Amino acid sequence: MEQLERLLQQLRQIMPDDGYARRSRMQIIGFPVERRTRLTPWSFVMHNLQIGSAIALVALLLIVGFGGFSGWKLLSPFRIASLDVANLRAEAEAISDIQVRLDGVAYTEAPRHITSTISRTIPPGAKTTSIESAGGTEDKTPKPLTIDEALDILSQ
Amino acid sequence: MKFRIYHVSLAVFTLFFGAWFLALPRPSFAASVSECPVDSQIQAILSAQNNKELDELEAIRTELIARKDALRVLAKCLTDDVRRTREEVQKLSLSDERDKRVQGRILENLDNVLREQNLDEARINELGLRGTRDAARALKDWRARVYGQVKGQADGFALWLKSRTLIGTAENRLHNITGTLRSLDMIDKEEISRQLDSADHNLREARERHDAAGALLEQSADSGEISLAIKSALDALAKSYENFFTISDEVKKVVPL
Repeated sequence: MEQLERLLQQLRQIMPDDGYARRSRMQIIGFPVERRTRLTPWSFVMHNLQIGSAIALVALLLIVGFGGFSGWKLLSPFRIASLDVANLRAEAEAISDIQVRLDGVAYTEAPRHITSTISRTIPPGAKTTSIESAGGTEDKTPKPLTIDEALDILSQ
Repeated sequence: MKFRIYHVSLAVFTLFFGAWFLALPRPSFAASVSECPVDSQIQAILSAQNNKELDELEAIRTELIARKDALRVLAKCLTDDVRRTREEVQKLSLSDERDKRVQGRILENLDNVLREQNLDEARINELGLRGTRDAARALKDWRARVYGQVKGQADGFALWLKSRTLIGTAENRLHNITGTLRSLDMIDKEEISRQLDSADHNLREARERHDAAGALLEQSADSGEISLAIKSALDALAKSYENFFTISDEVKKVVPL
């Protein structure tokens, strides 16, 4: 009997966890349960890792979207870089780029927009014939004269 | 403010995109034609020519002043243009002795060009109306005949150096393709073997023609001739890429690339 009484005394001392009691009370009275997990170093690391991964994934998606990254090529079981058409094309384009630039080496400057430049400099009604004869196409955005264009005008 | 991993991620993200954005190809700001800020002087000439209120003598005097001003600006533009070209040639980083010789020769030619352009202040002051016209004509002729040649040599030299890098890249490409074909056991296929031989021949041709263009550069030959020689080397080089594309197509028939 005495033993039973002692056991009951011990059972009376059993108390629920504070957090559990608070959540249960809130649930009983229909109050929204506040889910507040205890901040452990592990949860802190995991939380930040999740956010970091999310940002990294978005970045990767943007690179794939805007960078023209041909990732599906990696899926090819036989990806042979030396015969990759994209690489070959890039190198071939570099050759044609230099070929085009070589055409410009022997190129002498032609009058570009003398008419337009002069027409904006001459007062309305003034004679312009001698200058306009220097040629050039109409250019809507006025640019400074080139050296050759200016020399052409000055030699007239 | 707490330092967190997502702050680091954000920083990495920003740095990465910043680097990507900076690496994007941009248009060259160097003008392909040499512009000169001489518009206001030209306008003054035209105003003097068209101003009916001025008597003849006053009109001539005003026009002459404007013409001389224009010539001063143009003389500066011309020398600036030569100096820019000189800087571009000088900043080419070269290790090969032959390259350095060509570079030195072109720099020397550019210095001579600068010396030849002798439209200085004293000469401009002496000019009359007709004299300014003749001086402009002479400058244009000098620019086309003398400077145009050396500028052509300078541009040709830069492109010749770039072409050499491209030939080297193509030679590596041929080497790698040969290795790949060997590992795929496709090197003895008739069409592939034929294309490989042709690519090898074209690359040798490109190298020889490129060397010939180098000899022309060493001799300070005509810029048009130099340009044609480099183009000829590049034509042979382009043909080797046609071979590579054909090989790629042939391999694609058997192996998914």
